[in-house]
Amino acid sequence: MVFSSYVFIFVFMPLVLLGFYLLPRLISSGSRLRTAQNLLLIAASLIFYGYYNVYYLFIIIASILVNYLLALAMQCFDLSRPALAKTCFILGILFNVFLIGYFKYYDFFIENVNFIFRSSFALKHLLLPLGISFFTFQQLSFLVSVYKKDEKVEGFISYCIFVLFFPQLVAGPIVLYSEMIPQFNDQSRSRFNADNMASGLYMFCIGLFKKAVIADTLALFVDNGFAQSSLGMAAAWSTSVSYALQIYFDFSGYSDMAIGLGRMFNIDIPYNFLSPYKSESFGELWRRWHITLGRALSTYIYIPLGGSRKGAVRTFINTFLTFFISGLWHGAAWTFVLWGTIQGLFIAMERPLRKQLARIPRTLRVFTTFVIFVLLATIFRAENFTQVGTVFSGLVDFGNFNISQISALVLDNSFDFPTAVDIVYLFSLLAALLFVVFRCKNSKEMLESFSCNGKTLAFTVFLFCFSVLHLSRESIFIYFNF
Amino acid sequence: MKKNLSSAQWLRRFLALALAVLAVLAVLVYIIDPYYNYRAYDHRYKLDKIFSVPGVVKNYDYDAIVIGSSMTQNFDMDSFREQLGQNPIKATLGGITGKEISALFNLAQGSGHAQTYYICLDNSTLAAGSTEQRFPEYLMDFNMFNDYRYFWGYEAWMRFIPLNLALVAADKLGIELPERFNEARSIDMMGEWAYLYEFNADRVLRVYSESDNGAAVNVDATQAYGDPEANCDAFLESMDLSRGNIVFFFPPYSSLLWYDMEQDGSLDSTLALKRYFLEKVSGYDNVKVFDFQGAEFTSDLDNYMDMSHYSPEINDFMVSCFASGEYLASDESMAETEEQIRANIQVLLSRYPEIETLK
Repeated sequence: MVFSSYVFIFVFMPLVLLGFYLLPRLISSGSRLRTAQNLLLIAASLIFYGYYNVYYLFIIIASILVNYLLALAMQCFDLSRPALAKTCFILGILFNVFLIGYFKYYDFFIENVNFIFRSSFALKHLLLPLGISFFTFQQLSFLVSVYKKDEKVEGFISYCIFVLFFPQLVAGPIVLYSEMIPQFNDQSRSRFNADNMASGLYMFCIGLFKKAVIADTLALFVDNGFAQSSLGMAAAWSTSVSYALQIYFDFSGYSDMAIGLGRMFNIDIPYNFLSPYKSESFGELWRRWHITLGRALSTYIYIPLGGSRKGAVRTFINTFLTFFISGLWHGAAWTFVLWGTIQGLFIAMERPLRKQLARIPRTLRVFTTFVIFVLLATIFRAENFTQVGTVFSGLVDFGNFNISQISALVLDNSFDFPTAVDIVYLFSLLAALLFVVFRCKNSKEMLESFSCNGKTLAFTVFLFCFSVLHLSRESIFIYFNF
Repeated sequence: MKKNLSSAQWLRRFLALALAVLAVLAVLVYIIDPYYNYRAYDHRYKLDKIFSVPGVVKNYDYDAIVIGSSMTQNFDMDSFREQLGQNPIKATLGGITGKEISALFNLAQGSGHAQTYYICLDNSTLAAGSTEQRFPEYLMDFNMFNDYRYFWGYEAWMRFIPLNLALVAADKLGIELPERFNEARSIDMMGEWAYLYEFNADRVLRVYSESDNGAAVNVDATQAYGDPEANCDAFLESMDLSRGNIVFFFPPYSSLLWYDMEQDGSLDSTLALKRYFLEKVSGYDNVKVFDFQGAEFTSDLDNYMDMSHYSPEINDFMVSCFASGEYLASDESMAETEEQIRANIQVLLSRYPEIETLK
């Protein structure tokens, strides 16, 4: 199920909220009530996850069972038989790597083997379970924390709700056991809280608008742009900038909805995006973009590799490796690896050059960071290197501006507008959105300044109703595929 | 920001306002009805066939329906009225698939309007597995419960209602609109494209020489679509052929198309599939099949705008045949037609010898 769908907004969400806040009327005991609410959320999350494909449920349930049992075994053997605890830990790592490797990377691996050895091993074309990268990563982080004795394994219900909580199940934010479980156990969060409900709804509507209205409108330009066999400069830049904006509004919109939904259930979910395009460097951009992934990569890869503690060369290598893995995590294709690798190179180079870079005017640094990100996003979006070549040759085709090709980007098979209208529409929309990402408050700032008054009421009703009018072209979230 | 409402008040007002706005939007869509989902009549803009055709099929007053691809879009509805005494509509879509044909057929049957069905059979209709269905599902039924996708639909609100209003405003202000906007207001003319093109041999040969693989209908029935006979069976089984007067017809592509198929080796399999189809429907007394593909005029490229698309005069001729029974197909005529198709290819080549050097 996706958040930006009729069934989620008008059926699933109201019913789950209603059930959640009716339970306090039925159960008076605090701990039993909390357990019942968590069970309700687990059941709802399973319906949410298995809505389009029941087969997904078997995979996620198997993943939860194996990880939980291994974590429990690790904890049991920890003092008495440390070697066994270590074996359980290694088994857990192998299980998760195998799970994600099998579903996500099997075909990628075989394709490369076939290419190198000119063999013809059959591809499996496996259906990638939704959000497998997210829930696998989250569980891996849990195993590491238990092994390092940073976390204690609690009851199975707690573990299930940690992995399954539907607002952040399929596309993050990637949460830590230690920041979620105390909230799910906190009995003071059982009762309906109108403040949280209002601010959560406000945040949800902001995210819904970002996804359903903005990102899905941009998706049309991007899909059309990448479908062209050749692009003039105007269309190529419009396509690339549209994609950079689309992926931001899509993913940050999803995160905003997750945070808003969490609030509706009195659960605080960490922020994932803080105006990344206002960044002056790539290092800063990755502290503002997909923050919870950055946090996880830093904790479980960069720091264990030595972080910045082992000299300049090792820091360079560690940064580079972390982003290489980040690229591979995002997708099973060399375009993703290249995308991650180049990001890693930029960040690794920024550190030794930071004094020189600081002398460049801030506006120029922000602009350059954005432009490079736009170019890298183009690699990220491309289905293959031929597409990368098509768009990149358009980006530098200075002799062929070809503004009339903008019509091909705007075409949506329902009605053809005159070219001039298409051009004005696309450019004014992109300009407005660039203004938003560079100059306006981000969702966190909006939420922090939220207050219940007529203005926020009218704004939220507008966001909600206008978004609902865009649901009939509902599309999947970009990050569901990762 | 200043707080002047309690959170509970804010929530209550949000719910009330949001529901009120959505209710107003739904009522407006019901009244404006941009896709004719509740009522269909002339002199309103029909801006996209995918969204307009289902409503017209459900709600317009008609007794005959022409279902098909671009091969049917230039039929003059008046010729049906004058020559056959019928009250027809066109339910057409460029490159229509078998699944779309059967969906429109079933919708027309469900509407209770249609007595006679004219169904165009392109080569690909029979051969291809009918997988694509471009008409929105929520318009292709009589179920009110899924109309929320219409009431709060993106296409209705973001595309058609603003355009409808803008066009009506332009009319009122006396702004002259391009011809196609005027034609978009006539249900008779839905989908018509003939006025956009020239029909002559020069154009056909130019288009032919520039295209890589001919027209979309030039397909190898046996190779491109798996098991064409099974696909043909599935197409027929998806419709209840026992009710109404059903007229299937094979459209008169130019002989250039048949020549091209002969060259790529798909001619025999395509003709075999036609024979298979005829055999399958021969048991129905209420089903007729017209086959115009052996007609002499197919070798005269001045009747065409490309290998397959013919001029409106040919559409008129076809209607006269529906009335007279000429070109009615039977087991015997099928063999004759096949011979005629091959003979027409030779006539074509003698008329336009340059064809053999164009590719």
